[in-house]
Amino acid sequence: MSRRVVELSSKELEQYSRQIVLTDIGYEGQLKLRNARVCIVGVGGLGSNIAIELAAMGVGFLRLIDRDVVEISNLHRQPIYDVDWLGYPKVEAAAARLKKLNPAVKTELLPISLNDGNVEGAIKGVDIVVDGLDRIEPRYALNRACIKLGIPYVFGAALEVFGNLTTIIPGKTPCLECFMSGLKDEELPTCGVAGVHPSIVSIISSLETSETVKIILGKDPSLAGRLLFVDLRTLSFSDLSINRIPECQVCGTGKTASRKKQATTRKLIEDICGRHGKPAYVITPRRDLKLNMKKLYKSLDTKDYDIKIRAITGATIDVNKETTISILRSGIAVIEGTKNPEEALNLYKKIIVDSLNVPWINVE
Amino acid sequence: MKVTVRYLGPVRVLLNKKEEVIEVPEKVMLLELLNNLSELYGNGFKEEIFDSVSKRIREGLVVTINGITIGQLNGIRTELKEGDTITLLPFFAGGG
Repeated sequence: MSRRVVELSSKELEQYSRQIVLTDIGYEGQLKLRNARVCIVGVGGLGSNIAIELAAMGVGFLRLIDRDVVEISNLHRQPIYDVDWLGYPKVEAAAARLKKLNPAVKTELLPISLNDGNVEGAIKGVDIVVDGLDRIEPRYALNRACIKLGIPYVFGAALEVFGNLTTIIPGKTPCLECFMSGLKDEELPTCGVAGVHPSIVSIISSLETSETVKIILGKDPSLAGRLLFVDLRTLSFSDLSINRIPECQVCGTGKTASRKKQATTRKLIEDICGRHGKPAYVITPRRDLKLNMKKLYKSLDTKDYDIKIRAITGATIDVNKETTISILRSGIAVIEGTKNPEEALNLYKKIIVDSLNVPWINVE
Repeated sequence: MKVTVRYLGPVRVLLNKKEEVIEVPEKVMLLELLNNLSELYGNGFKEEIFDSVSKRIREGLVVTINGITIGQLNGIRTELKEGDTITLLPFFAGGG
């Protein structure tokens, strides 16, 4: 896509002087960064660091996708957030920080959960997709969409003191399915259970930034066709070359075969790691409900709900001493403290569906 | 014949070694090598490599021979050759 070239202003020349002087970036490179459109999927540990770095470097447009709210257990490795933002949707808290860091960067916020039904729309129109997800199944959905739409996908993940990353260029490199197909989230450890060291998150996220910038600048990404593994405990970097599988069901001949692709379908209600020793559930409605938050606040105020956070893209409500519900504008909700999924769903109906007369068909 | 096994991540920590050269019979299959290593290093190693229920390679472990994932070869039945390098790489899908 051709974009109108506007020369760098004297303010921009000063702001980015320490990177414009690099032969790796230069004046032309800075223009490319300003014109770039990047989608960061997940603004947790990896994604929030990547967002900070790309915004600081002057990447002109960042689309932020996340389904979560800021929690105190995030702060040790997600310094983009602070205690003033607890309970706020992460996309909104991140965007507020980025605006202060670099007001010239445009952000677009999608407080949604990725699945096969919405992933293509979510990443359409960007030059590069960068991975900040915490689960494998949405990554498969993202991989499929990136291959289909021809968008480069910088994959990265970190857990405990280990991390790995690779850069997927559709049609050129292996895709995620080529080297690691068939994993299920329920079989893999999570940060909540296994823990994660902030330093491995910083290393992996910075390397993802570096790969993203290389692609923006039109250079060959260093990790195309290589899977890099980082071990913080021994501080070692190891890599291995990975190859395309010609009959891959996503990027190879297998996509036309009858074998059914692994689908990342939406689940209305999911049990996620309890974050404060309580059970927690995520409810993902069928459609983006585009909730009118002001109307929701008005309705809940008349019913005397304790609305802790009233944000533009979402809210956090203390239902009682035990139970908290965080609602995103898209209709996604995280409910903590109910005894079982049925109770969580009933609460969702009471607070969201009934308050705003949402047609149940859009939820179920 | 001799092959080299490279260990990464938790297996490296467990064994406290980066790699080793191992003497194996001609035309040995990868599965036999991994079984022999499991006998040598015990249950901790075995659990890092094999799924205790299905007895197959554990989900989330990338095994490569000379840099090629075994899914593209003959899986755990791939025959090893003199000088092959086998890498055991845990794959992480967390997000921090």
